[in-house]
Amino acid sequence: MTFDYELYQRCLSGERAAQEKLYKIYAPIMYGICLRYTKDQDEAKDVLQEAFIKIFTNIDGFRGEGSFEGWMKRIVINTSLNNYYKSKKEISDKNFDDIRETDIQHDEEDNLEELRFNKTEMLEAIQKLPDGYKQIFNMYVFEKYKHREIAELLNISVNTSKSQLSKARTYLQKTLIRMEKAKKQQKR
Amino acid sequence: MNKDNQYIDHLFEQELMDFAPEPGGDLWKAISAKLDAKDMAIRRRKAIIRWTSFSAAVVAVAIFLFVRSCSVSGTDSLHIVKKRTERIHVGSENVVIAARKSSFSPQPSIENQSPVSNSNTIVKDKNIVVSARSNPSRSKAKKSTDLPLNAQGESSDFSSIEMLNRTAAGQQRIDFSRFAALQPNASYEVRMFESIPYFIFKSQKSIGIQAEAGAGLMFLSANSSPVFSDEMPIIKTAQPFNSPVSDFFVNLKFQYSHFYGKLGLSVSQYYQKNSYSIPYTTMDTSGGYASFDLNKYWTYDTVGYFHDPYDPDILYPIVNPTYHIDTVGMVWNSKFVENQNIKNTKSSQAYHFVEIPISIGYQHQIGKVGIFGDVGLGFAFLYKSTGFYSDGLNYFEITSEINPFRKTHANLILNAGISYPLGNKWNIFAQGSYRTNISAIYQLEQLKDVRFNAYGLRFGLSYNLK
Repeated sequence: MTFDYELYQRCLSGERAAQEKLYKIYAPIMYGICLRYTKDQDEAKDVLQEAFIKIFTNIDGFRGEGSFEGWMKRIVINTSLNNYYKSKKEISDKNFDDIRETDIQHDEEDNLEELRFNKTEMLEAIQKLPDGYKQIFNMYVFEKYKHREIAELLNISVNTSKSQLSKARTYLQKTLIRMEKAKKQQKR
Repeated sequence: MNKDNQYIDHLFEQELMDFAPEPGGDLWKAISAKLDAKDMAIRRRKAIIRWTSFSAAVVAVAIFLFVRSCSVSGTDSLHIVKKRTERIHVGSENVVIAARKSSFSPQPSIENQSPVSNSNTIVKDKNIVVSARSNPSRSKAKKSTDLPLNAQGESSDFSSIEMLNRTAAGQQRIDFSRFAALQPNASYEVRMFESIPYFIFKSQKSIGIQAEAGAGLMFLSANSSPVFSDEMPIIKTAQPFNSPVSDFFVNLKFQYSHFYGKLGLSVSQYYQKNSYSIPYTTMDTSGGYASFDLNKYWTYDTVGYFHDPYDPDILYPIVNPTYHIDTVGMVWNSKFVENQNIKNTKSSQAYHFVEIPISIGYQHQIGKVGIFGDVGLGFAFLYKSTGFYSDGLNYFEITSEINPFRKTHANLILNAGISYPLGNKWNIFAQGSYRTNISAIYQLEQLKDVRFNAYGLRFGLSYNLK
């Protein structure tokens, strides 16, 4: 997306109409990110609202290093992570190991590569991920963070990050297969 | 990384990386409201700082002018308080030496003085230093402990020294003015007193009370143009905006020295007649139509893998993309039409305020002409509103209950002018006047930042009651 310098300057001076225009341009992309990090639309909207208030009140903090959209995305991701911190008052490796292995046993009967899913179904699968798995999966797959960076940001060990990512993938695979089975049963 | 993992990552990244759904229309309103609240808090904080600085400056100037206007006396007077007491005993071989501070420095000069030539001599003076030593041959340190006053050489801290002779018969005060000698084998008490200068401000002018009354003509302007609203009629403030305001006032003026305080009552009226056109836009989103579209998507089959040439541990999949068009979905297309309209409005409005001004000021006299300036606060009450507002569709009767203004608001008032005596009791004065709202005057939330500024001339007469 092309950076509109004039719009940025108007937002910098606190012009409400310009802020609304900027919001309309970027809100869908940022909302997509929020949806991936939260469990439902209401929570995602709360995070988006908080993130945009941070963006507008700290817009003078954008120094032109990197893209403006990237700067906004970082704020949205950080706000999403803060939201997660708030809900989980204490982050530790233990929280990430709370999910039982039996919950994520791989179903060998179905081959995921033969199945087709739309965006809504895939988003639903991510939202169903337990907290912790969701953050790690998003940060690794979409934000391209390395395990070392994830470990620092979430205050966990590198090994925990790696193992939870692996579990998240298995969990997603199983969720998608279950969804496919449910669809087939509905058709019958 | 195994094949399944890569496939899962790729699948989600491909589908959701650019996923950008609309969050819904009400979210911006919530964000805007929160930003408004934040802006308001910042503005309030800035206003507090501004007003605190302004008040501090006014108080500082007032104190400066007050001190300047008063005659200062008492700087030579002394409040005497006892600071410390030392007891000394003069033995048979002991002498007491007294010397002025100027002759006391440097210390060895005292030590070298002959005890005989200075013996039993005490001089009373503001800058006196007293030295007592038990034996001239003893060390300086010993002397110092006898009377630290001497050792420190800081006798200027003490404005006077009193010495008492303690005998079996009782206590006798030694009169320094007669150079009383100290007797051997006697005990003395040396009291050192500290002086504290004090100031008395005496007003050069007498206290006076005046009653004044007058009338003025002022003009209104606003700091920004308020938006128009169908909910409530408002005064037009598009530039140039000069709505006349007439006012009548009575004040009681309490004068002390060059300073005065005023308490009064004023009645002011705003009048305005408008006829103007407001362009506005309506949006028609009713209706719409359904259309059918094909569901188009890509799938990716992994047909092999290759290693990263720079990092053999990383394995990349080789995917074979396939384009699919297989299902048909219905899409609802909303209708969205913008209509440009013009609304013609007419209004005739009159608003009557009562204000209680409280101010402080300073008056400087040049011959018979007095030049004065004052600053104060006014607490205004809207007591009557009349008129109408019509926009073709709506018609509002403006009444005391239905009008755009709040019942009360506060103003900052600045006045500066000249006065001239008309005999012993009467004075005539003319002043330039400025008044601005320091609290919201409009009821509507979106107009809370609009401030009216009134500026003009006022004339009046004052009568010396006392």
